Amino acid sequence: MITTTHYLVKGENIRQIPQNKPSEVVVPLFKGEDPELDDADDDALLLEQITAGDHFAFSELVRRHTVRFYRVAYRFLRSRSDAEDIVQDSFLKLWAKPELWQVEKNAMFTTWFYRIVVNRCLDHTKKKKPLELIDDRWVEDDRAAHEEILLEREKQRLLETHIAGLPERQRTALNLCFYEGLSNQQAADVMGIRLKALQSLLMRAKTTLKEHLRFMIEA
Amino acid sequence: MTIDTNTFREYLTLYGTQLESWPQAARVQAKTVQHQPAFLALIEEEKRFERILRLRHMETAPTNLAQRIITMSLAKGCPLPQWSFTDILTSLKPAALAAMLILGFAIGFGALTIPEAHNQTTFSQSMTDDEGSVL
Repeated sequence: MITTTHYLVKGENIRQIPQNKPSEVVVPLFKGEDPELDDADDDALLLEQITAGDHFAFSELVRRHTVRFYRVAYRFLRSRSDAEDIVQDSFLKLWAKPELWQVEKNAMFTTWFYRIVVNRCLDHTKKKKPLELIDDRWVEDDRAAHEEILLEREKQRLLETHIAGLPERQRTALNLCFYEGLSNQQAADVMGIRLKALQSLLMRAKTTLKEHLRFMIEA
Repeated sequence: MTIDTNTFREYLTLYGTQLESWPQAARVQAKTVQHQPAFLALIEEEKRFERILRLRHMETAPTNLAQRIITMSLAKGCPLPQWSFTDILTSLKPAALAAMLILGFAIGFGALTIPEAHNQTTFSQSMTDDEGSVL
């Protein structure tokens, strides 16, 4: 059996060539070479170590993915503190019960964790009152009183309003595919639906938004 | 294989304006028409739409969030390793298993010979008086 050993050295991934290859070389893998597959491999390795109680591995996983999952949580919740709470609780739950990951060993960590974060966000929005779109950000920026900035803010507000008005599943499809940059298949996996269903949701979400924002597109 | 404007528009909606990131079959179809005026207009319209979508306010994560999570996890303590007896057995190499078996037998046989050794001690003790000198 060919085994490949991974080492994590100061944030850089180094993969050792399998020992039964003609030359034993240590090849550094730089970010961007094949980031998705490499990260998925590294994540799986880190999760194995976390299951054995390795806190260093947990720290590495948190540092690697916090920004990404905070971003997706914020897109759903539009609240900094709520997004922080959801990401924090999700990671702490993983640390307390790392065996939860073992249940779905065939899934990539990010796909599985997206699902956890997105579901928690949706649960959270159901419990809370409807989103208040105008928060302190807008008030602070109004002081600038710059016409162009105000116009931009107005466009943002309209966009937020129309996105918030989309049905929950359409909004999720849009967030995952357009804003998170997941492929249609990855987004379908996160949402636990078929590819065709995801594409239907995405199509309806974008078509609705295009209708509402038509005057902005044509301007 | 040709593609009509409706299908092309559908692909634009599903996969975005970066034709290189489309699934291969759709990309091959798109390449044959992407420079035709009707299709170029569709791409431009979709790009304008995407620009509007990107206006959405994006909040960056607080710089200390990751560190906060790590610190809190330390306070929660270490999860118990999820090992089972099967995991331990499968992680052992055959040589190690054989060595453990031999060791087990040795300990087992050793236990059988203990009463004999005990008797010997008793015998040697019987050969000494209370002060320990040989009779």
